[in-house]
Amino acid sequence: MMSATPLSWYLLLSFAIFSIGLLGLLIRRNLVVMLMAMELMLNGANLALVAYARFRGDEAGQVMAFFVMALAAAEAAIGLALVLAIYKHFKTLDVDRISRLNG
Amino acid sequence: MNDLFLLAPVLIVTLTGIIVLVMDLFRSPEASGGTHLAWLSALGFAAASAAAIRMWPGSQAPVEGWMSALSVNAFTLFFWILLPLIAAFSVLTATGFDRENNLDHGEFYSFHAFALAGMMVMVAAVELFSLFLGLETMALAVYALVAMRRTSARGAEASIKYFITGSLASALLLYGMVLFWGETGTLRLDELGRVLSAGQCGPILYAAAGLVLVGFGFKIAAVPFHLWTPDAYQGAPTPVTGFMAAAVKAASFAALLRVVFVAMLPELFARSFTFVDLAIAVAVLTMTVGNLLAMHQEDVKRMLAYSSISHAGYLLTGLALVPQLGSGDASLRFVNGAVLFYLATYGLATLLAFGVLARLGRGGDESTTLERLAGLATRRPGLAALLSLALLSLAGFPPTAGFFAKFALLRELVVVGRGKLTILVVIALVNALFSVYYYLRPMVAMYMRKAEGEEPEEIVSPTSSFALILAALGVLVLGLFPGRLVGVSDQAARTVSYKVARGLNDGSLGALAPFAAVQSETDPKGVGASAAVQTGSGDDAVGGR
Amino acid sequence: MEPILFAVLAAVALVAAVATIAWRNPLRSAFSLIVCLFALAGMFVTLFAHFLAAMQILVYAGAIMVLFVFVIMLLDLSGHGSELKLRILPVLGSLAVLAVAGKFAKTVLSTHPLVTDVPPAVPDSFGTVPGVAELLLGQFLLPFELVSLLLLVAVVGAVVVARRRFWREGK
Repeated sequence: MMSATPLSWYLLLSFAIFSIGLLGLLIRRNLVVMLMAMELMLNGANLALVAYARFRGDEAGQVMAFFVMALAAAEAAIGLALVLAIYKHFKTLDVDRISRLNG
Repeated sequence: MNDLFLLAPVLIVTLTGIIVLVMDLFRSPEASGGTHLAWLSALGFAAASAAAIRMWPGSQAPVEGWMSALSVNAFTLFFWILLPLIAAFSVLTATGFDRENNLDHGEFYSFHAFALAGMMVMVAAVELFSLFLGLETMALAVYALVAMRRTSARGAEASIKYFITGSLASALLLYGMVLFWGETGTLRLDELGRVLSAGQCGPILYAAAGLVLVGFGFKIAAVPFHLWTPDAYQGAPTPVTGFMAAAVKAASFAALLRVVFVAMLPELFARSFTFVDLAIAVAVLTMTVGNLLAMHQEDVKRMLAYSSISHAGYLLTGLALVPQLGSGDASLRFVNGAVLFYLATYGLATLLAFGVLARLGRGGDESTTLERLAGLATRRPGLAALLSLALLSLAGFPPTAGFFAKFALLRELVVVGRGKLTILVVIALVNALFSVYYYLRPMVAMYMRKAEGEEPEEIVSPTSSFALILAALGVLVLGLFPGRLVGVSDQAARTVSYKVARGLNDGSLGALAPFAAVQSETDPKGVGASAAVQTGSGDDAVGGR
Repeated sequence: MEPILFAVLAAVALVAAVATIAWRNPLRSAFSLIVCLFALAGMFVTLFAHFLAAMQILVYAGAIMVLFVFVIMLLDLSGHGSELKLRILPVLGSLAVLAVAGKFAKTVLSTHPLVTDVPPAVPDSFGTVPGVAELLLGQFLLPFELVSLLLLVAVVGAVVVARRRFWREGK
């Protein structure tokens, strides 16, 4: 008897990880950490996808999780490139101190 | 094989992007400017648009196999014609600016192509996952475009702010999608619609729908998810801002309309509060906040950013303004054609405005303040006239296209709302009147003030002038002879529809209930002018089956 | 056996996730995130997603996180973490997030049973390379092609954004 853990546990864990990521995005001001928080959010979504795939017996969820990984890689590449550009101009990664635009 | 022909416009655009990227590699280092690259991309985009025109009005039959994620119907083709044209104008108006800012490289133009390809998939998708990936392709390309000026700290700042909110939005959208898939086992919009309207769904689907809608709220910059807009629009290179305001917004709106209508999200909400009320509340908030904040901006670019928020507000009424054919369970609701018309004319006018602003930044000093505009009418009367035309169209003065777009939208509010939306019409009118104030300020600066001190210089670029004049002609022609486009957008809008299900609480207007006029239940067919539809026109809707 | 494994992995994943956003030193955050990714990979195995678990470790915990660590070291950020300042808007946002999370947890529990929930039996090929590949290149062909475009954009975009100058510009 494999995988006797009910789906709801996986969903709760997935949502917990997603929320932790969202919280990190809201309260942290360091850009690199914010990017990592975003990765956490995507991973939360991925866990839900894989768990649903198992409980529906449908591999499509795993395929989508695979695409999400590719997407996470793409976002990380662009995001980290932006971080380098920001650091070059502002010599800091604190989003509160990155402000040349009048608002 | 036939499936690939259906994809022709997207393939043309993608190929254009790759060809431009490769051609740039073989350019000799001494070669001057990238104007020919801009022309090449513009021609590629125009070809894609032409291919889409040939395919009009698209197929009604559902496509099987791997292509079933896309639906090439009139709604899709409307945007496949519009978006490449916007992109073509955008790269052409960018030419002079690119030269001055060292942006005339293959990457700049090919990112436009890739973003465009993403948008075209996004507006055609009838399956949420493909839609999401199209949206991400568009978003990543635009982040790169915004940050492309390496000397510009403001560009990097704008891009990171856009990136963070954008990725947050896509993470929310993704999670919503995952819940939809997990609970229903499908991401096809029509199948989702069937499940949602049948009421076989648990409360998790509310959460899913909420997450998806919030994700889209960020993308179209609806209040209260608009905070990134002014910074991102101001810091981006001016032609890119035009592209964002015109194309990205149009594509996001199209995708939103399709998701809401084909997946029948209003049906889901019918039990707690009506979707229409929510849409009206957000629309009112968005137009008002956008207008209020635009009033005091000294920077024209930033002002236009806020103005784009307020235009999103007018457009959002389209979610509430749902023409209906028939009555009771047999009735069919479809997207309002006035919204598509508004998107097209708004895009054109915005492109024109940002295209002129892009000409101001001589030598890379990008100053678009009102002060900088002073005396433009004497220095460059042509540019001043073009900018004035764009602003007049955005403000909604006749005989520009903007006037007719606002007129059509407000008329629909009166007709479709059957008098219940009078207060919304008044709010929209008051907003439009107030917006005149800030649209006139740059014109006052251009025509009535003199430049203080040294006169600034504008960029000279025949290519850009050509594109600007074409866009201006478009604004005037659509204002004087809107009939053709109105017909086309009506036809396109009607292909996205849904059959009214049992649960829909139609008459309620909770958000506006205190103001609502006496409800007139006497007019069962009261669908108004645009109701002369042939039935069964919705091919990707539940109603079509 | 399996529920115990789930409990252990879930605990590791949660602690590591909290650690990721709590460390002041970004380098420690990165390593916490790697731990979290490994725990999730373990969970993928218990969910019959073998191929995905391998990818999670190779691509995610491997390639992507190396990128993060590389940037952190390159910018020498390990010394100064940013202050954890509390301001109104983020705090309100966080409270909203927690409220929504609680509401969502209740929703999940009302929809799916908490104790007995037996997943369907699946064939042996479930989650292996052949099973996933068939879908990937069949039903999901269009997203697959789209992702290739997405990755092209990301690669060129990252180069364009992070470069010091266009190669054409000379020194």
